[in-house]
Amino acid sequence: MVAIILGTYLQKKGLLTYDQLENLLLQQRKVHVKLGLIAVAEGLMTQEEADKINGMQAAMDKRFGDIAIEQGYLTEGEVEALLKEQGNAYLKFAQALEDQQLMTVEQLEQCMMDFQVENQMTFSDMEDIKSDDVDRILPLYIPAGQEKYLDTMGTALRTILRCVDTEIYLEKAYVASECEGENGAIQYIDGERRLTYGMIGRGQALLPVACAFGKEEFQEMNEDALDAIGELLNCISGLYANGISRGGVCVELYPPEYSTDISGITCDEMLVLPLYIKGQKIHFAVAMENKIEMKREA
Amino acid sequence: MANILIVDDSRTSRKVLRKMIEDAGHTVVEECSNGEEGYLKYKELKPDLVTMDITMPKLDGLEALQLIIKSDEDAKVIMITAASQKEKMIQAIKYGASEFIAKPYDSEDVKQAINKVLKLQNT
Ligand SMILES: [Mg+2]
Repeated sequence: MVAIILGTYLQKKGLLTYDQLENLLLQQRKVHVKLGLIAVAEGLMTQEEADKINGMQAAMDKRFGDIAIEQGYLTEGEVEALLKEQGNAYLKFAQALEDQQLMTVEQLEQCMMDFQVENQMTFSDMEDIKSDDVDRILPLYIPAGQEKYLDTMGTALRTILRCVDTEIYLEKAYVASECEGENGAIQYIDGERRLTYGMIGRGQALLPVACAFGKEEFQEMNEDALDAIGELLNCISGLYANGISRGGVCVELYPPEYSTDISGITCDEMLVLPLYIKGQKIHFAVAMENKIEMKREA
Repeated sequence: MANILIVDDSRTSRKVLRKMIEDAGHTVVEECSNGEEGYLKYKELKPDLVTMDITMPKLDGLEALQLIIKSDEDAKVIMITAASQKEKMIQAIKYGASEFIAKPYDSEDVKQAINKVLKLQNT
């Protein structure tokens, strides 16, 4: 998730095209993160020093770490610590940027400072983003005082990441009583805890979600595609119910409802999280105690 | 190889399940979208096994399970649960469910559950 969050930021800044971003998201999964890049990202070496060793490495047939130690840039302990970072998602993204010759890690780090300041994030917030851990990232997108939604939204986001797409871009969630959209699904959970999940979009925005979850090439957001959205909600609700039932809380799931013909959803109070899945903006909503209703077109 | 009846209100779920069942080498004899239809088709087709969704409109999976077992106490019914809610599972066990599959499941979960239930049938 860190790749799409930072990649979308770079794209909005005009530093990447949309196609370059798409390509990066594919590439970053299979890159091999180089030790030199990690050393620069960690501030142990400059880009110039790393480039110099990379040059020597080509001529000497030795490992980067060994040369860096010989040349006195890194200690053995540092090399060992850097090697452990090779699976890090942020560094994979940085390596993909470098492999595609779009940006060096030093330039990326500069952009990250801008990102941090623009989003008024603390250093620990930045660590959370770079962790690529959804449980650490989601709280940054929930407004202060609305932590009660963390559990329900967390289950939803984890399920979407697992069953739909591993790269989802988020905008800050907000509390609302209305949310516009032309088609979507809701599911009501009743019992010792009551809540409603909803997922809506405009036009064909939900199509990539329906296709990915339903494993079918739907041509448009028709009833069949919405059935897939309903089943996705059913999975989310089920996993949430599962979690709370371990704590002894008993609930009942209602069958999901969907409609191709709405103007939005309404509720006394719900938390709305805007998500970008495969470039399409959709809205995911959770209401606690209150019931979300679909507003049918008159 | 078994003849299997799928009962699920979601077309998406039926389609995914059908593929998994067929890939495991079994035959889907019919798909039903609610419990009532599922019960009637069970009596008509006498399949070796039923996969029964719990959360469905009209007659839900637990009610359909109860009717099927009443008409055939040897019926093999695998319950597909969106949540392993304790109460529903306890009820399903009481009514005579053979096995459970929790959503979201993968083809291996489905294959294993079917094989387990079929082996029970052979002994
Ligand atoms: Mg169902």
